[in-house]
Amino acid sequence: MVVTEKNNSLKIVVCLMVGVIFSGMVSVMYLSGSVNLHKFYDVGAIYDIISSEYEKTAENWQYNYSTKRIEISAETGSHPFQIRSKQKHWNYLYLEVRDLSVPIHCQAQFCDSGGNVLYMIDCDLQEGRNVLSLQEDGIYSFNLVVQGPSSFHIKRLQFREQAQTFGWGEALMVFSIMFGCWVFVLLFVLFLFRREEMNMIWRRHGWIEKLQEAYSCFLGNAAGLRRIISSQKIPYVRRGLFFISLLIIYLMFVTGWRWQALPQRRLVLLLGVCMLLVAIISGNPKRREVNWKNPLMYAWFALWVLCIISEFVVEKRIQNVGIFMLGCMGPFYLAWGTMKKPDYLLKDFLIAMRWTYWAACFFCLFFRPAVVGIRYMGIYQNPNSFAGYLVTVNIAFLIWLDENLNKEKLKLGAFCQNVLALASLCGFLLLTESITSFVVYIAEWVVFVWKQFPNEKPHNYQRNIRAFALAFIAAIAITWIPGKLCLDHVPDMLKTKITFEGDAYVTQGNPLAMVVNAAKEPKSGVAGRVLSKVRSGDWDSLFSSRTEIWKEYFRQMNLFGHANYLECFDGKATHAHNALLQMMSYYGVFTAVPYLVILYYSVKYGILAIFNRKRSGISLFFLMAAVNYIIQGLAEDMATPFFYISWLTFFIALGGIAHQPVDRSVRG
Amino acid sequence: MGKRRKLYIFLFLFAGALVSVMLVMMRLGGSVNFQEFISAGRVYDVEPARLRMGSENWLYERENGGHRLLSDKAMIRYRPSDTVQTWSFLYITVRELSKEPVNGILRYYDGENVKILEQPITLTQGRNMIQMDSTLPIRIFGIVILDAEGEFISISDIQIRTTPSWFTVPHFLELFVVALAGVYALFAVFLVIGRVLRAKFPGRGYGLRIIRLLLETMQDVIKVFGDFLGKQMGGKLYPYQRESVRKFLFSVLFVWMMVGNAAGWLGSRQMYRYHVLVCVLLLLFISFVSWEKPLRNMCWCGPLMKSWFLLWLAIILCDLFMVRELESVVGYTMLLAGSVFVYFWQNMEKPGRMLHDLLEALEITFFLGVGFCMVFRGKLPAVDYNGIFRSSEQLAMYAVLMAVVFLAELDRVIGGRGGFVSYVKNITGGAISLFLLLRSGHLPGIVIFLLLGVLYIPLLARKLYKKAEKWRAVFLNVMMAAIFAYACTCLVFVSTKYFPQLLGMDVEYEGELLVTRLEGEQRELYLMQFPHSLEGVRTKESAKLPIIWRTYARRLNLFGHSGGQEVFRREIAPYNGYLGMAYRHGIFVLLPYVAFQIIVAAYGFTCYFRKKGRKNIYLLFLGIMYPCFCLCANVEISWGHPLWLCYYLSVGYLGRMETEKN
Repeated sequence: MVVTEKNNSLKIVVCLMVGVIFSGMVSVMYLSGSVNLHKFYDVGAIYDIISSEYEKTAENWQYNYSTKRIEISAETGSHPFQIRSKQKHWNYLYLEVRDLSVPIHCQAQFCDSGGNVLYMIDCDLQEGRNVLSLQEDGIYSFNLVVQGPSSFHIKRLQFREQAQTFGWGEALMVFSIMFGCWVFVLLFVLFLFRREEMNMIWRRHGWIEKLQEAYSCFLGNAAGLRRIISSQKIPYVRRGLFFISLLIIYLMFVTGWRWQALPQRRLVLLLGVCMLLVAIISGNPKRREVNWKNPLMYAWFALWVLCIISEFVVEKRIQNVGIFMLGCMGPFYLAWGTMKKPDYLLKDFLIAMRWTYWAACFFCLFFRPAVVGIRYMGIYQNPNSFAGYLVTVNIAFLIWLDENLNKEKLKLGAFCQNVLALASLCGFLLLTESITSFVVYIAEWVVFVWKQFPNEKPHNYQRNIRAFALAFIAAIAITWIPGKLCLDHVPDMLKTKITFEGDAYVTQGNPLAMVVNAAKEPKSGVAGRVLSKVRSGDWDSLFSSRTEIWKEYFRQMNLFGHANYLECFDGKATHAHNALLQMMSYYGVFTAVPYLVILYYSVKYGILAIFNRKRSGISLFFLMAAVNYIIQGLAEDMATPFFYISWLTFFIALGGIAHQPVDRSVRG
Repeated sequence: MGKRRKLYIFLFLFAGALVSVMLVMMRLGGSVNFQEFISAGRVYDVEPARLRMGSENWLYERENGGHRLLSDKAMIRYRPSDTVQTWSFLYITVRELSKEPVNGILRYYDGENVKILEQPITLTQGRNMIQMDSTLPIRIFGIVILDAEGEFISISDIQIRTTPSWFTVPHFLELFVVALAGVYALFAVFLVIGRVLRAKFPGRGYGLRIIRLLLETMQDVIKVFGDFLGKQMGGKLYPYQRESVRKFLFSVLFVWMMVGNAAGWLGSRQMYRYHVLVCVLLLLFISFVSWEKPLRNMCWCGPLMKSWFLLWLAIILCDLFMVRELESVVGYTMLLAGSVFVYFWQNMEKPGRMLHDLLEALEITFFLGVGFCMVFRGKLPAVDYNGIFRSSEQLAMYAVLMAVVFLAELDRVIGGRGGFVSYVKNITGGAISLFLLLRSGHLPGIVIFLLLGVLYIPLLARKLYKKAEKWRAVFLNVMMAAIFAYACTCLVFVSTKYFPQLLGMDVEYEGELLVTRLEGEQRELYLMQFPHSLEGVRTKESAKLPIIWRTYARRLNLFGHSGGQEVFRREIAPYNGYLGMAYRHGIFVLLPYVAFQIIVAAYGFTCYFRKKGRKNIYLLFLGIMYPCFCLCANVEISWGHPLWLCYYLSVGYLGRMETEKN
């Protein structure tokens, strides 16, 4: 494609996004006073005491959730704070308070690893920022002792290596100036070169065509290998390969091989081989071209090139994603695009997903019991990952339903299986109590229901939907009562219980409750969790302290990315809990641009696929995969490659929408 | 029997030998261990120079090659490691003993140099195995000979280790012969089964099909992108412009490689990737500039291209089994950028032009390098000259390469191409190369040069005989040029000796390897005369080589190692290309490596003695020279030495020959 003038809006948006990132980058470097491409916000180390820490009750120290103030009820109130960061040497303590009821005198006592007080600093707290200069000793904890009954609100409790030399008020101005300059330069360039010249430059670099040609050569050469398998066996082989791919992703996550270089390389290679084999057996050797001239594929290509560059500059702990995508997923996309009946490939993938679900059910039932008071972890080591897997598999079952509701005669076995799966899946999801995944689950159902509306509703449909409703109720009864009982007791009865290394036992009610007391804790469920978060009224609680992680990730942004997850408030390397932030942190800030373009066009083309009359009901998959990925990505890590089945599903789904009819791509 | 068939049979036999070596080593090690066949544990060999040093009561007698014991309790101490470690076995090989047996004591010293244990020992002539107390961590051990004042002892080898050593040459050979017979028998069985299966299920093997698929796909991909980029670059240039750009880029590439080598980037994990990136980009740029017409696929099914492909692929595949630092970079870069270059070269209408440009670039950079040496790199007295490189060995390799380049050019000139200026340039260049070679003091390099010289004499005689009527003109030109060359060489000699010091511009590279031939008393005498002049200068001794090779051989495994090997308590390169490759990438990489060398040499020979086409002695000598250096030098300096690059890139020219033949 030729990206024509009609794509102007996209070009403008891309330019503006690049401008925003560039201006942000320059502004932050200007404010921090150093040009450091490895860390734009280079102001030394920072450690924040998170709000949930000082909300805890301590000696005469109470947090009033309604007024959001700390109340000191006696002559002396104190609160101990642990410093969980690996860095122990700090130069400044920033204590920012608001709404002081009376002038307060306070004392900060700094302790060593044994809890002995090293030194104390007295100060009179003032409204606003209070800065305490610290001594050179390593600090492991500190007590904040407040004299006299009072109340106040702590806005920030922060240890810093260097003093803050600027206020954030300046930031907006600097950013505005930089952005203004960017726009000016852009307009100047546009003024210098005529539009035709710009388009010529754009057109001349038809990399995507050449890439397609290269893939096409590979598929053409490999066509000989395809003859080994008879055409009747191809779907089964394809399902097998997809199943192996999903299994690889699962094993990568569960076994911890993802963190070991050699197993990781081998599994990635195996995954790549699986994808290439699928491409080889699926591609149509007679058709060698598809239309990849659309923003989605341009962004896809740009994203992985940026990733390769980033991997070259910074040695990553998770490697080779760019090469995997360009080397293995590219031919796969092409082969899919050239297929006479592309839906067959998708069907096989969905079947493989369903197989994994049944295998997972079996595993859970016999090996992974539900523990009272603990959020269920299923086949993973933590409930959120399992929930993420469930909502991804849910897509496969919903699509089966969507495909079959119009059929005159449903296959009873398949119908029962599907209904049972949907009901059990919902049950598992409730056990995990993952709010993010529950939101995704609802969104998937919304998309599913939305898809049902524009269709004509023949008699068969009405009959099937009634049958489905009844069967679903029955399935709920079966899976939620005897099924739950089995889940609770079978592994213990058979003594087949398995625990994974690093199982995260998260209690259902209070996240800070001890695991041993989990059974005694009041059960809250998903609704209870949501309510308590909303009631708390602060962002930290609402996002389960993710805001602190996001803050840290923003602080550490750089040009070429980091080697690993960043160390956050508890001194442990934690993923960003946001796909976009994770991408920017891992591969550099500018990856945000192609990544966002991919996300946008995946939704857009997903919606268009539903309305495409040439496609079957299965095309609902693309939108659902995108919605699943994006919503999960808002609060979970969906960007780390090779870890999540949702990740693989999304990038497989892109293959189905990569090939766009010419007229649509021109519209952009 | 066809040549190709002979090669395959050789490789088949060689593979059997490698498998046998592996099995024998595992048998000697006593376990099936693919990480280290011989499972040797920690081993420390005492440096030969250290063995020749004495102590207060052990007086070294140079003429007798041993120690005279000066007291009844004569002690000598050795330090196997810088930190305290436990050891289990001590092997002392006594060459000569005036009184047999002698009793002694083995003393253990801890990290603080405090004696912690004494163990009685008895030494006899031959190999003595002493079992040590493996629970005591020591840093130093001492050997005390009792009641032997005035006696003579000559020790040829001391080795301390954590596992027993079962290796002796006869024992190894016995096992090897048995293993080899077994392996060949097994291979024969497999062959028979293979034939039976092939007869039952006709059709080609999938392994071959996959290799062919990879080769074809690689060519297709290069073709797609090559045409796209080549049209933008080479397609817009006139042929003469293409040649100039190519020469310039080759020169930049060689200079960049030598700069990277001198700056120590080859050993730096952080810098190496950027260094290689620039090299790769330059190589790709040269390729795209050389685009003349739409590319077409070549026949890469010949043994040369197959071995080229398998060599780099084998290096890359080791990455799946071993976490390595910089070792695999060469595999990736040569497979990608190297193959692109080779493909473009093979697609050229006159591939000789590229070769000519490459040689000219080498000449240009050589004269630049000599100029650099004259101004910045002074010759230190009694120390072998490193020239623009980090070691005299590298300079020797470069000098031999350049001598071959000038010889090849001279050969061409004698053949009737070029005038007096060409004679002057080539003879002067050759003379300076020879001078640098002699200054490097690298004996293997000199021997290789002499070998090539000896080989060239009959070729030259034949050539002159053919040009009999013009020999007087040739002789006159050569004489005149030789006089000029002599003057130039004298200038270089004087300059490198005095200019840098006079100008105060002497440059010393960080961590460069300085060696001297002075050892023992000679060195001490020299130091008395010029104190501190040999600081950081190592003694050159050939006796070290077997120990270094033995150490590397001991660590051989299936998929290679990361980093260098410590010998004599410091990291030392293997001084053998084959051992180096086998150590870095696993023992079986030798199969494609040796095959590649044989084929390059054979094609070089064919290239010179063919009846049709242009003859070039450069490729023949390059094909001979590289394996020769492989025997006793660290020739595998990836992206750091012109010899390495020239050797591997010659595949472009030779591959075209192969394609034409096929």
